[in-house]
Amino acid sequence: MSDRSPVPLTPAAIPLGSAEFEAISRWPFVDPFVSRLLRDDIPQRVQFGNCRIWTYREPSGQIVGFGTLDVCNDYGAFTAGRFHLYIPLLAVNPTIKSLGYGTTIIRHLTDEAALLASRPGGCHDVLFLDVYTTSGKAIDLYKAAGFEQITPEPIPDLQEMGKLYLVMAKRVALATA
Amino acid sequence: MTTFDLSEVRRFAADLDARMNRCDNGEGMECATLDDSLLHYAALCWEFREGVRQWGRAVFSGRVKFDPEVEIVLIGEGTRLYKRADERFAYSRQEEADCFSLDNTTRLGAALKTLSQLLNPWITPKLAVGPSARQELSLTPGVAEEVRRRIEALPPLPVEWQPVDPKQQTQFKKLSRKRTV
Repeated sequence: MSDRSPVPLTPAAIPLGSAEFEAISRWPFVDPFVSRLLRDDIPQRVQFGNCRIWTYREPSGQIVGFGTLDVCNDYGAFTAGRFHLYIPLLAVNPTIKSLGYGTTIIRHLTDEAALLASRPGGCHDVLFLDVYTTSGKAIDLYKAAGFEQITPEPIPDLQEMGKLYLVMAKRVALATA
Repeated sequence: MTTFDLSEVRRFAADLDARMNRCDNGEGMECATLDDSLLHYAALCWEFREGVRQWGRAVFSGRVKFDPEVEIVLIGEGTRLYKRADERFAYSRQEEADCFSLDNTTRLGAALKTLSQLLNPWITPKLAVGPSARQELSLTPGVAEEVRRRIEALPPLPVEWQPVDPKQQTQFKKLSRKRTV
């Protein structure tokens, strides 16, 4: 697991329709898939599910990234149908030079997931995410944060012209001493 | 609701309307007192919200095809419900100010806030962009077993784990106290 973040960022939960959400929705991501996920999936996950959104500000006040965390049943086949934690999307502002912001964001989301999973009657203690195999930097980031590939082979995304993706997971249960 | 087709959604909306009317007309015992009626309206708000959320998830995951007619029915019903529940809430606040305190005003206030968040901004559901919600993994039994084995083998967080963010640290301390009690 990666240690303390190299850059301190201040997370803040934001609602849909806020100025912050509108601002991050306009970021010019190189991969249009990220914009589509943010504009189409995240609002639905918030309204019809249990998704939360955070922005991350550096000490100057500038928003440098965002992260999302849902409690859903998308990978219920692997959790005996129980609701589990899932990271639909996180991103760093593509117009700035990242100084390890992704590490800070994934750490915050993982910590939040651990807190949710440790509540009495909480959800399943495995945190899932999926990532296209073309996103090499993202895969490295997740591996460094302790995520492991759980699907032995990449899976073709049938709606995205067979683009291959991996399912990764990390247990966020607290160890018993 | 299970199929979310137009006739089922219309029945769902008509049932909510009928229960609002019965309450407003003082029929039955559910709304025998003003406080009871607040709880009744709060329950209707939660029920409506849950119905919309289930429909949204069904469209998002591809189990149900989006029907704009269904959306029109749900927006109309949500708007009507909000207006009538809000009137009841305003009346109860006025009564409270004059003479007494009602147990269920806070409950209806919370339900109204949640309903308002569902209606503003209204999100039209569509098929998910990301694969996890819309694509069931068709794994061979051997691969499925391997996935389960890998999940089982995932280690827990280290014993010395603590969150980094100060707000999370506060939550963690509270949880830790509960775990040790």
